[in-house]
Amino acid sequence: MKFHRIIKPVDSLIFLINVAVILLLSISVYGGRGEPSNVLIEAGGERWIFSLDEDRVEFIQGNHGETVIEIKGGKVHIADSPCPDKLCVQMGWLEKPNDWAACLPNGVFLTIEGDSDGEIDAISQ
Amino acid sequence: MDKPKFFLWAGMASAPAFLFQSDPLFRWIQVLLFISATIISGKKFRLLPNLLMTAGIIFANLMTPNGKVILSFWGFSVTQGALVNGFSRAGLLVGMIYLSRFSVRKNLQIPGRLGSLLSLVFFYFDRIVEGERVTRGNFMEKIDEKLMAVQKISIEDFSSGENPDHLSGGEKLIVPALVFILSWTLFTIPLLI
Amino acid sequence: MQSVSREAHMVAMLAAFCMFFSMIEYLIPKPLPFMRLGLANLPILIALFLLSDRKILLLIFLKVLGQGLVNGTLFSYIFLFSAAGTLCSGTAMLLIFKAAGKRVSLIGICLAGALVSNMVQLVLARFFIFGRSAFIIGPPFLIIGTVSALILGFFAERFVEQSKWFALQRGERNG
Repeated sequence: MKFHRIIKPVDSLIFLINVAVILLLSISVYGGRGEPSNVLIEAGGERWIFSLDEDRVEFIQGNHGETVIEIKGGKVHIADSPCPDKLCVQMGWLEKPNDWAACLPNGVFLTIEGDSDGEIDAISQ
Repeated sequence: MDKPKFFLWAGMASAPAFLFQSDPLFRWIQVLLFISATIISGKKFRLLPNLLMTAGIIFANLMTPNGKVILSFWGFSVTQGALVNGFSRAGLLVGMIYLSRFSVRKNLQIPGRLGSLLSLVFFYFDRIVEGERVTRGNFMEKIDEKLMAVQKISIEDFSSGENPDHLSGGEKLIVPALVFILSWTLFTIPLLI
Repeated sequence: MQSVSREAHMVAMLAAFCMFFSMIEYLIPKPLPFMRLGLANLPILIALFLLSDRKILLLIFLKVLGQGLVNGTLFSYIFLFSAAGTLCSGTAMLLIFKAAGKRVSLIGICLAGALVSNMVQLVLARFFIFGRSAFIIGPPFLIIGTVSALILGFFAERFVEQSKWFALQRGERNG
């Protein structure tokens, strides 16, 4: 029994779908944007890191009160902060590595982590 | 009710208390409870595979940072939220394995049509395992031989009326009862404090 | 137990073989952590030719339940994973077999089953156990699954062609 005699048309089709799924998954996991981004938040000598993959709202305690940070759709911004000028809120959404925003009166700083310290990179290589 | 059924019901009734546990620490206390109950009722427990599995799950969860940074080395940050997540999920997995190993005893009879069909499956399974070893031929011929041999067994050989061991004052029944009570207690405590 | 049909016996027997094969695979050390030939699917592949659709679904269900009982992992997450994977892939295999008929061989059916089962398990692992990093192992997991499915599919094709037992059963079903 020869291999090519058993293979039927739909077999090849299913095999191609299989390969396509593997390729698509590989590209979305390893390729593209490289490592998935995280946002680093610093306030009062402490640090927090959150993945941008999951939408969430965090309340970070600063000098004068809580700064509200919202993560949504792979982007992050300061939604509210107890400061008079609200400059930080106007800085808008961050999404690329090394983008940053800060609320100086409240002492809260956030930045999207760059590629340089990519731990995911090390694993996928 | 026979003994295996009592274990099954006690286990099933304890499962929600474990699944909906809100506190990771109490979840792990429940895990220890299930493991000890499994050992007491006479099944094996091996530490190393469970430790490796737990470590693996915690590590995988650390890859997705979440929350306050508690430790940082070689550019890798251990965050509190991710650690708690991993800890809790690992507990969920290990606990469910031991709760089910504890609950499902030998000679378990499931009632109804499905039950009798299942016992028919186990009847055939016994025949396959106990049957003579097929030694000749390649792997495929061995399977073929095995199928032939099992097929030959006549239907009359099958009797569904094997006696399950009935409840007999046995002190061992305290164990499933305790598992049930303690797991619900451990579920309630974190809700109160 | 007086009126158990011939077909019910066939279902029970094939389900028992599923359990037997999964036990064998559980005992044999694996060359790679996820390397699994999926021999326990062989009875389902054979059943496609021997049983009615309803009985095939019943067999898939029994395979899931029987494995849970034998390994003692009923109601566990592992069980949930394998159950979801088996139910989805079993249904997919049956549908493709019905839809494509002579235009598909057991190799294609095996490939489809493996893909569906592995994707379901990856998605479940991502949401319940490992978090986002579950997908990092996704591609190698799927590649190994594809290779084992090719091997099993080829083996099943040969088995269906050469097995005396299968020829006997098929003859009885058709005649």
